[in-house]
Amino acid sequence: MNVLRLTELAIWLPGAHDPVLQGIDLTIDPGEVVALVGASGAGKTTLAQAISGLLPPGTRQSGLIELTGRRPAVAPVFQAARAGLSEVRRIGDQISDALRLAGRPVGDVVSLLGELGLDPAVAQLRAGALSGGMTQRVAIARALATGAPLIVADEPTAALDGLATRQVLAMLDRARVSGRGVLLITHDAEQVAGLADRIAVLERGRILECGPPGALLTSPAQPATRAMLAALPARATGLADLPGAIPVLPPRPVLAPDLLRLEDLGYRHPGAAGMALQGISLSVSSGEILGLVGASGSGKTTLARLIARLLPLSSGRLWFRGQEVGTIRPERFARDPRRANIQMVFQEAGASFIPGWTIGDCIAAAQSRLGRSAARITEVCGPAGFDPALLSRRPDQLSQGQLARAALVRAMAADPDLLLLDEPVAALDPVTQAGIMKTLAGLRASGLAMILITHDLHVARLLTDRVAVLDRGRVVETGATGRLLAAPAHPVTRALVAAMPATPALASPDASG
Amino acid sequence: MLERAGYGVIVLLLGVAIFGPLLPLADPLATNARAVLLPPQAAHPFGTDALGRDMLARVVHAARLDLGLAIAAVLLAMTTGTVLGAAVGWVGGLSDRMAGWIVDVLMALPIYLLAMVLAAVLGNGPGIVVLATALINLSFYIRLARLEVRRLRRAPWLEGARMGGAGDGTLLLRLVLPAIAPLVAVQATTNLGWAMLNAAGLSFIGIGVRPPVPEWGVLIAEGSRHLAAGQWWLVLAPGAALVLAVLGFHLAGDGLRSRFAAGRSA
Repeated sequence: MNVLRLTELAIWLPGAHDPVLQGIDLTIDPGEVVALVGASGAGKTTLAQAISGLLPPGTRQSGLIELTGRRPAVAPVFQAARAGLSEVRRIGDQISDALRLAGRPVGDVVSLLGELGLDPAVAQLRAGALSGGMTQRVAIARALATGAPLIVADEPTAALDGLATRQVLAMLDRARVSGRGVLLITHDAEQVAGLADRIAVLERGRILECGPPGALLTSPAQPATRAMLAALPARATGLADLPGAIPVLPPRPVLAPDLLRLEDLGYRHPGAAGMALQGISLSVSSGEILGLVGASGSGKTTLARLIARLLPLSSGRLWFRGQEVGTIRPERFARDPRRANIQMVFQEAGASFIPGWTIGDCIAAAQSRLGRSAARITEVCGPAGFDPALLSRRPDQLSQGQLARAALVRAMAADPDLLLLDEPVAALDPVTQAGIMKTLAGLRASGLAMILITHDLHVARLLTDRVAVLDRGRVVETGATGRLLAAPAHPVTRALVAAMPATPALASPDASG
Repeated sequence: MLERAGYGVIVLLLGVAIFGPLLPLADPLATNARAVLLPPQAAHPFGTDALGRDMLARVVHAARLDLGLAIAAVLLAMTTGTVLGAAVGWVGGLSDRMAGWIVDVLMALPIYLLAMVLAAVLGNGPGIVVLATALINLSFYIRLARLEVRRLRRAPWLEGARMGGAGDGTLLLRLVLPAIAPLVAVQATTNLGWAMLNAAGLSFIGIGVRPPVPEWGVLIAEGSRHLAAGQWWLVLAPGAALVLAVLGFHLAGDGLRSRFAAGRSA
């Protein structure tokens, strides 16, 4: 008896002429994990919504979705798990609620959490106090608590670092052991190879191939699957192994070394008791990429926003091009002539564009305020890999990959000396990810200084010159990327490196170069 | 469907308020001793009052005043409240907390007491109705604008615009206010219904508009004296007009609200 059987499933989104999914045949047995991989826009999330009965109204469907007769038959877990948890009720109460709704006896929730491998103390917490990884594990625990025979998890690890990813995957393994069927959607086939019984590759709404991970990852039958695997950062020895060409950009004037210098920087959130960041001393030079890594909540984004002059410093000093700019309040720095010289690409690329405005209007408004020409916008579209025709679209009309590139266009159009990138390739499919990494490599060659935040140490390995490791608001280790990954000194760095998926690159002798 | 009915009522109300006095109706102030307290009939579809004045003419002429008072009060409350709320929500800190206290005090004030005090201090007149209604409704706009601006203040797209050289003024005027405008418009539409009820209520107890000026609250107050004697038509026409107007604005406001909610989630 299958927990899910899809037969000739086709789905048309409201108003669309062509189906977003077609000819989908897939079965999942109890105790089986099927991973669904594919590029963004392939229809992965639509399939998850269809199985969970969460398609938007007006969607048309043909073919069959067969589930078990149990209620509930499906428990969905979403990428934005935080949005599915109440902010006010304690986690333990929310899991009891799930049990009650499913008509199951509400027993000892605390010991239930323990059985699922979670710290029982979590039961007393509220959603706001959980890290990203813990939020995902709580969401999975709640899905397990409902007793649903099928769990559909949509990109549960997309925004997580290596350690948290392993814990979430271990949690899904427990679900398998308990006899649940799991459909795990991900953009990283390599990451789930150890967990999945079968991997299905979705491309443009069709399942290209489906098979056990061993066979599929080593000898894929389809060219699209091969291209996807070739673009995985974990598989590449160097940037040259990734598909796509590095764009050649006009060289920038050489600026003094130590373009940016931080001295004993500290930041305290308004109203907070402790320091969010303290004792940060770093420097970045032109033509260099500094990687910022660390567990979620370690202060990476806060540090980037401080450097981007979006937050006021609580202590310490910040020099940019030899001038101290840390004393300028963020509201004033917005109209400072140096504003254009420090730019940032935000993690939520889509949300960083003004809703309701076209991408072009949004960037053009910034260009005129920053004293940069509007003509530059289309000039940088090519190197950024962004189709200029999409400038007339609104953010809600673009895919995640297109939005990530649009954010790069905006930053590059301002012609900055220093570019901060907050997870610019997270949650993107490997091919898009590789394209953006090539653009960043081109920018470095032109002499731009960059600070790159990433939870994926393979991205850091391929792209950064030096890495700074953050832990609870402090820099615990800095060093040349190759040296730091090959011989991590601090325990935090060692734990991060140990959680990296295995790679042929690190085993080879030239990896430390 | 209900939303359309709401818009229909508003159009009808505006039409009557603008063009009503131009219609070939009786003089709303002309008394006629030989046609006192006539029930509805062909010559007087809504009957006549104790002085023989035509109720149809009085109800129609009252629409302009009632709608005018409500619009003036809501415009006053909306502009002041939104600007104030947005400003304190943006700045935060002490000013924000003080605005919170002011809102609490405003919400605790009964409108009738407030209007009586205002009338005693400033002198009675239609302006008192506008002022009292605006003050009572001010808190809704302060609260709405303050909450929305506080929610938006950290929005990634505002940080994106700040990165693009937008100062506080640009952010607030060009981006934040347009973003909250739809919500304010919904609030104002629903609010117009309440404001009409407030205006009529105040006139009913003798604050603001005084007889013989035709105004729905005044008409209901005058007619209520004759209700016990069985002359029901005196309150029926202005009462029905008031109910229709309040209902119309509420239905339209609800319709707009669900429309914007749909647009936001899409």
